[in-house]
Amino acid sequence: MNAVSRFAFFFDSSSCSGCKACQMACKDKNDLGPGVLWRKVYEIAGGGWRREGEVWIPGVYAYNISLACNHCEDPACRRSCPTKAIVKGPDGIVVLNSRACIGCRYCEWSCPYGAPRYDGEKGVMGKCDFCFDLVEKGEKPACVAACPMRALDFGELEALKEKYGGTDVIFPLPRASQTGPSLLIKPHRSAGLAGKETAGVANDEET
Amino acid sequence: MAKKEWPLIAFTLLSQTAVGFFLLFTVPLALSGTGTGAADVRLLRLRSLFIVLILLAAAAALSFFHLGNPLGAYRALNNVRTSRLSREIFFELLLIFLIAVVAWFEWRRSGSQDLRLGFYFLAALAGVGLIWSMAGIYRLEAVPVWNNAMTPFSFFMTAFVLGALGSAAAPAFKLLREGKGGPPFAGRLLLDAAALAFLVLNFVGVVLSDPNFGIRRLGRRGFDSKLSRIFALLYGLRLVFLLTAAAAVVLSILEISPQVPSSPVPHLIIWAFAAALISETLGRILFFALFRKEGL
Repeated sequence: MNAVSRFAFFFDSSSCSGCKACQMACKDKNDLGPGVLWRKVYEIAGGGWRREGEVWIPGVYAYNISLACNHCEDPACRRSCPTKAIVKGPDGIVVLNSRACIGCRYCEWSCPYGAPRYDGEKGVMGKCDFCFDLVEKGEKPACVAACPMRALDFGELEALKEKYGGTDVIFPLPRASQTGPSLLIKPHRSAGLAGKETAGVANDEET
Repeated sequence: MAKKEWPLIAFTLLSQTAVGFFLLFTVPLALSGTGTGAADVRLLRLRSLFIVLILLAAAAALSFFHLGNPLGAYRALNNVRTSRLSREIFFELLLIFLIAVVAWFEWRRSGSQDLRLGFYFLAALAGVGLIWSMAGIYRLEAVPVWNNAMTPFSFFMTAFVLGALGSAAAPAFKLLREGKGGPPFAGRLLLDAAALAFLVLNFVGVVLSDPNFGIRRLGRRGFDSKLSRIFALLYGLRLVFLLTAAAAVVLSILEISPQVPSSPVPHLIIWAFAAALISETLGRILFFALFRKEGL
């Protein structure tokens, strides 16, 4: 594979069915224990019913966001890690060295996306490493390969921008200006509505 | 709030109390270390340094319980340049080292007065640096509820309230136990007045800051109503205990008599310290419990 300056994920929220195959493929590839998710699928739900005369009009909506580490331009986790266990490679991939981690969980607090996750059995943090071993062999990251809807893709950020366009923020993700995520999203049609109304993560406990 | 945060509550409260006690009790004693009764003052300084060291060591020991891999804790100083957590640990260790050096000088009666004062000054700076870096840890852009001026304000207030009341209460314990050796009239009045001022300032800060960071907006932050009611109850109790501590200090001040400096026994200041400690603990529990990230 040619040298890449910044790898990124693309996610098509309008096509995602919320099957969580990406989540499971990630768990399987990285041998993660119960409750540890490096890729999470958030179910965003909102809206309600309104009455017009004798008729009730449904306005409920739901969509999914599949999210892992976004390998940010300026990773808050790397800045905050007291042991320098988190490093960023020349290809933009942010890697956590679990052997240097002391399990203080400060990266979990500081990451706006909550990407680093604590593994209680090992006493250290872990996070998506872009399946760099597969990528080096010219294969796709496990989550991208597993998606039956082709809602996930990966590649060089600028190339993805050219191919798909998209945005790096969608309700309820935090402001992209915080860390500059390497992420492009094609928003679901209801995402704009969700930002203006009372909507929220419906599977908060799961994620 | 998760179980993993209890060691952090203990660590922050103990460290801040130690710094407050050192700044408000030990340092003034160091500045008044010569002249009549200098030997008694030196003994008092040594005891107070011992208390500060015990508090800091206990805080450091308890902080290990929040680590998943405590055996690697020595690596926590690797990233002082960008990690606020590394800086906090650096200042904690620096403060322990400087207090130990000062205690050694005091115990051995070695070093000139200027040298000792120089170390006291450096330790005071390290103490302020410790609380400042500790507050900085929680100033995270991803966590708006922590990323405001209330975080350093509340951390310094914990130090000054518990430090001042601890300073007033520590000699009171000695007086209760031995029936003599209570604090002199002027010192006791000054410490009580300082404690009252910090309690009032803290109370005002907690009440005024609430609309920005706290209880009244819980519903909008996605906390369910049952949890919101529990938080509101804890918040109310925190204010009640702060007011109780302030009332006890006022009564203690009224009891002080210049004619009988060490009498009556200042039970009240011990009660005030206990009430303030409960209030600060409740405040810290709420601080961690309100953790919520922007967006997700």
